[in-house]
Order: sequence, then C-alpha cells, then structure tokens
Amino acid sequence: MSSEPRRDIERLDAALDALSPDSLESVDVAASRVLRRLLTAMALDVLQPADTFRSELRRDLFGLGKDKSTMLSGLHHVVLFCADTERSREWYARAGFEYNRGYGGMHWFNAGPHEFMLHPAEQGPSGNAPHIHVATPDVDALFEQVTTAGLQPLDHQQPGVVINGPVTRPWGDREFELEDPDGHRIVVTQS
Amino acid sequence: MQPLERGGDESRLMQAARADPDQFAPIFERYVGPLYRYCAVRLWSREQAEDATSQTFVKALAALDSYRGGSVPAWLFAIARTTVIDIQRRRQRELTEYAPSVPVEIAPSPEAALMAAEDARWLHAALTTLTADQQEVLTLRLAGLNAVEIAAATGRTPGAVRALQFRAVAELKRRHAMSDGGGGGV
Repeated sequence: MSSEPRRDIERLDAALDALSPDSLESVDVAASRVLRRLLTAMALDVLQPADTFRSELRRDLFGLGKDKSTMLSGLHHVVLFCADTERSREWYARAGFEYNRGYGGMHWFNAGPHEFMLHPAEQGPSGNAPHIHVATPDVDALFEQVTTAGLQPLDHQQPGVVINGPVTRPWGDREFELEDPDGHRIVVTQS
Repeated sequence: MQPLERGGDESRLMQAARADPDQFAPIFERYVGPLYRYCAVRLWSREQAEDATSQTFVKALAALDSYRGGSVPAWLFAIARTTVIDIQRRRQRELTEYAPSVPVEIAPSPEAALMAAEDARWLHAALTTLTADQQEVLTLRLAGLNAVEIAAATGRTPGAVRALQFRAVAELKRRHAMSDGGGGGV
C-alpha cells in the first residue's frame, strides 16, 4: 500500500516476527497495546488443544499397526513334545480334551478356541520345551518390529541360521520363532 | 506466545516420512498446537477445531509425496486453511441461521468459560471487525507464521501479507481507541 509508510509496515512485520512482548517496544503504543492483548488472548487455555485430543490424534496417526497389543491377536496353538504321542493322546482324552485330528504320530486336541498339538519328541536347540504359537494378522510387520527392537528371530528347522523374514512351512503357515530369556520358544504365526 | 521453532531438520524429516510415516511425528508435535489454535480461532468451536486439526494431519500424511521442499509450516497451514474453509462452507450449508456472536462453544467448562470470557470475547470481537483477508493473515500470524510463510500458505506475495497485517492492526488500533473513548469498539 503506497499510502502507508513503508517503514511502519516493516517495523510492524519485524515485531510480529518476534511475537514477544519485548518486540512490541518497537511499534507505537497503540499497536503495542492491541498486539499484547491479542497475544494474551491467543494464549488462553481454551485455545489450546486438549491433552486427550492430542494424545488420541497422536495414537490415530502413528500408533496403528505398531501397538504390540494389536499386532498379536491371541494364542494360536501350543505344541507339546511327547516321548510317546500315543500314550499322551490317551492321557489328554482322559483329561477331557476334545480330539480333533491326527496323522504321522502327531495329534491335535481342542482346548476351547485353541489347539494343543502333540508332537513326537525331538532334540532341537530348545529341547522338548513346549512351543507357544501366537497369532498375528501381519507376520511381516511383526518380524520387522521385533528385529527393530533388537530381537533375533529363529527357525528351529534351520538351527544356527539368521533368518531375514518369516518362513513358509510346507503346510502353508508363515511364521518365525523367538526364544525368551528362559529358553521358552514363542512361534509367531500369520493367522 | 513464542514463534514456532523452525528446525533445520524438517526437510530431512519430511523426506524420511515418505518411507516411514513415523518420521513425521516430531513435525506433528511441533505444529499440532499452532494448527489447533489457528483452527479454533477461525471456527470458534472446540469440536470443529479438533476435526479440522485431525483432517489437516491426515491429509498431510496422505500427501507427503506432494511436498516439494520449502517451509513445512507454510505447507501444513495451507492444508489447514483449505480444511477450515471447507468446514465453514459445510457449516453455512447446514446451519442457515448460524450466528457466531459469542465464542462460548470453545470453552471446556462453565468455570473456564467465565474465566476466559472477557479475553475470548474480546479476541472474537476484534477479529470479526476485520475483513476476511485481514482476519486470515492476522490469525496465521498469531499462530506463529511469518509473512513469507503466510504468503506461501495463502497464495499472496509477502508484501501483500505485510500490508494486510498492517491494515488489520491499524483497524484494531482505531477500534481500541474508540473503546477507550467510550465509542463501543473492541
């Protein structure tokens, strides 16, 4: 605006750049009073985002797919290594487990929505400790999450091999394994 | 209110966020407050300010590939500005008798409304005495953008922005003087 003193326009712009009470000393008294009151009003609590809104928005924007509780959807099945799976099959039936299916010396029992699998004993890296299979809707994302967190995924069928992603079993399951500090084997299975 | 921090790493974060949206988180933390304040003062409704702020970040994350460098706040506030305009248009369609006379809706509780009433009413009254362009420029200024960033966000030249803010403050000074003189101004 040619009718307005360029120097005053620039002076006001400089004061607004700093946006602090000290900066308002450089403008005239009336402008300073107006700007001080504007700054005071803008700092009102009612013009600040609520903490709950801020945290919920943060979670919505960045939390989805990263929350461990949403990455693991539940227990998938438990594998028990048995010296004699026929003997164990009889024991689990007597204990009230519902027989589901079996072949090749392996047997599956229902335990509510989950399965217990009886597997012939083997002497792998984890001995005959049970394998706990947990389900995830995105095994690739969880593989990346745990490796980023510093854990080393394993595959009992490839002892000593560093795996770079989930493995696909001949029967179609995609999974990887973890060993906790006490040697418990956790198998993460896409489901 | 202090000016926004202009971290030198913002452009790097924007580049990284294209591959990993979590890299955008520091930018979210830096600008969620100023963006919310801008939306709140433009809309005078906590619910709509939250809606506009949320939409702004969702759109920003979806449009990371469109960022071509330059000021990150100018880019973000340009998105917020169009979002606010869309909400205002929708509101005008839905509420034929909308009259934003008192900004009570922004208050979180009756107590806060009482405490904040004077300053909030004054701010609302002050801004509504200005032209739409002056309101927008001054509100972006108070949210922390400088003239060059406001120019980038609104499609004006920096000189036009400086002139608008000068005239906005001149109008407020005039109203303030009237108020002091019993003339009923802001």
